[in-house]
Amino acid sequence: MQGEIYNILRIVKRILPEMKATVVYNKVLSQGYFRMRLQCPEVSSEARPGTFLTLRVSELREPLLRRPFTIYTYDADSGWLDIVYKVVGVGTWLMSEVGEGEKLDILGPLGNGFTIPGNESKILLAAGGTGVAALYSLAQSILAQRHGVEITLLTGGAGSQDIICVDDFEEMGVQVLVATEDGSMGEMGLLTDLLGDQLEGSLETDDVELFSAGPKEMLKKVARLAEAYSIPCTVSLEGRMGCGIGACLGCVIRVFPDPLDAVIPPMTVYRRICRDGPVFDAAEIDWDSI
Amino acid sequence: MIRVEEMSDIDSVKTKPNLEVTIGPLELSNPVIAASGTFGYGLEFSDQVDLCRLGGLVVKGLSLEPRPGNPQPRLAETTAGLLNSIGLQNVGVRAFLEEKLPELADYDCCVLANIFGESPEEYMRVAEMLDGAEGLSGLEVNVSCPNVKEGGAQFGTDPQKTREVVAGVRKATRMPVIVKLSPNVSDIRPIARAAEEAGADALSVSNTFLGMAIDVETRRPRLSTVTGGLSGPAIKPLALRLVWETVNAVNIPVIGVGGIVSAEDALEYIIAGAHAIQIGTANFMDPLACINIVDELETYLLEHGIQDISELRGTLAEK
Repeated sequence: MQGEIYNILRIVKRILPEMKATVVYNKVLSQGYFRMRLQCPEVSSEARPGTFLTLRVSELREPLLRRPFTIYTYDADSGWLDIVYKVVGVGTWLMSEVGEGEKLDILGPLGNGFTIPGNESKILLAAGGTGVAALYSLAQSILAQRHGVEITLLTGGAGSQDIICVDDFEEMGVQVLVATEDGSMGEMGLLTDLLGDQLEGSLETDDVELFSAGPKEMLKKVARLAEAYSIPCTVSLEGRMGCGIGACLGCVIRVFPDPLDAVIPPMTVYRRICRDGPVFDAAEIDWDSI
Repeated sequence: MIRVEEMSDIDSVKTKPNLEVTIGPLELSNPVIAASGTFGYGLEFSDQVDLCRLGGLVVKGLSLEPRPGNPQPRLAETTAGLLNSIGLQNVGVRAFLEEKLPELADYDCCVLANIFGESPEEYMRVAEMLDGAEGLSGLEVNVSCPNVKEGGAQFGTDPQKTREVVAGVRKATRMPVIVKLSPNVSDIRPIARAAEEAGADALSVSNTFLGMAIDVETRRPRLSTVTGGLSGPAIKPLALRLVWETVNAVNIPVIGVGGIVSAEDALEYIIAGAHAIQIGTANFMDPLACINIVDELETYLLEHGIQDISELRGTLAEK
């Protein structure tokens, strides 16, 4: 009798909402870089540019934490979404070993996402490494809403192997400029040098809007350039996350206090990258804290 | 989501084992409580978790004034563990009462407020402000945060100071008082007894263990504060020992906290003598961790023909 009840309960419990995504493919883009397509209508139907998801990459206790990935692109009608990642540690190494048809515990979409610019400005995208993954669906959405708008992607990395997803942008009609530190592709130098040259060479910077994603140190330089040329800049931040849903306060970034809540002496204010972001107005961030 | 309660056509409802537990003056629908600092103010999880199914939840530690918390980096993942140095970032007790608690009141859930202060007087003040707040079931007094100078650890490592803080809070509130003890002591028993004698209704044993990690490329500590609190499966055997020792040293209920990610982990604590357990880091691995553990506990009781979870408590066999 008890065994029977146990089985009934066990079957019922399977219906509980543990969301799973099925791996459609997991393919190499470049040395150490992968693109994974996940079938998960629950997440792709709610996804928006700049939002992210977390995956539990192992059913065991190592690694312990879920891994966050920005949503590269998605198709709500077909129920899939793609992520792009680089193998940097145990978690992403395990990810790279996942095969077609396997199921992964997924949570998402999370975070605030980008606000699609509505004015007539030219769009500059500045991406470092896998930061490019946060900007593709943004470019798709901008082009879908504003046919023929001029978008330029500046992307940079250590070498040609770090320059990924360029073809996807070019196919959409986005102009792509590349900088590599070793000169193996595009201009030799840093992405921020390339951005500086672009802004310097552009006679009218007043109708340019900048979106950027990548390592925080790079974003800091991008934000400084945007400030120097007085152009609006939106950044998508990466953070070391504990929960991904705003509870643990692990991934916070220091911001300037809201002048309306000013207290004396001014209090340090941290905002959660996972819940209040990952997309922030660059002017809001206290870049000196990085 | 299908709840067990809704399966009225299934026989199992009649034989459903009893998971209710009593912790001093507190009555919980089950022994699984979400631990402070890992569950925000509860609301962060409300999209993922049916809060009504929790035995209880303890909100992020509250102080008299809001606190910004520590600089980055605040987290470092270690083998089967997580080091943190959040630094008690919180909205302060007033904002909690005005903004968070009223929203939490929409859920039929036992909400406990974790509190801390820089002085025994501040603990009392916070306790007074929370006393009798609608939607709040009790207080958890944190004398054990390792990450800030004023986080209470200076009280929780000394029996006399623990007694002073707990006696003050006891005077300031009519609500149930749980004291969260520090594991970073040579002997937890005198501190547990001091809290009991000062009027604690129950003890949470314990908090994170002091630890550190180093990046060998940069030779920098992985946390901005160099040391931090270790949680996760790595600490479970350590915390279990402390719970077992504490249970044998006091006559008030003990809530086991440390590294629980499964019902099996929870059962170890209950067999060692814990009345209830708290789930912390596992909430990050899976937001449904608490709910899954409630379900798995029920399954275990069914499988073993145990009608009431209390029958298991403190049943550690001689070897």
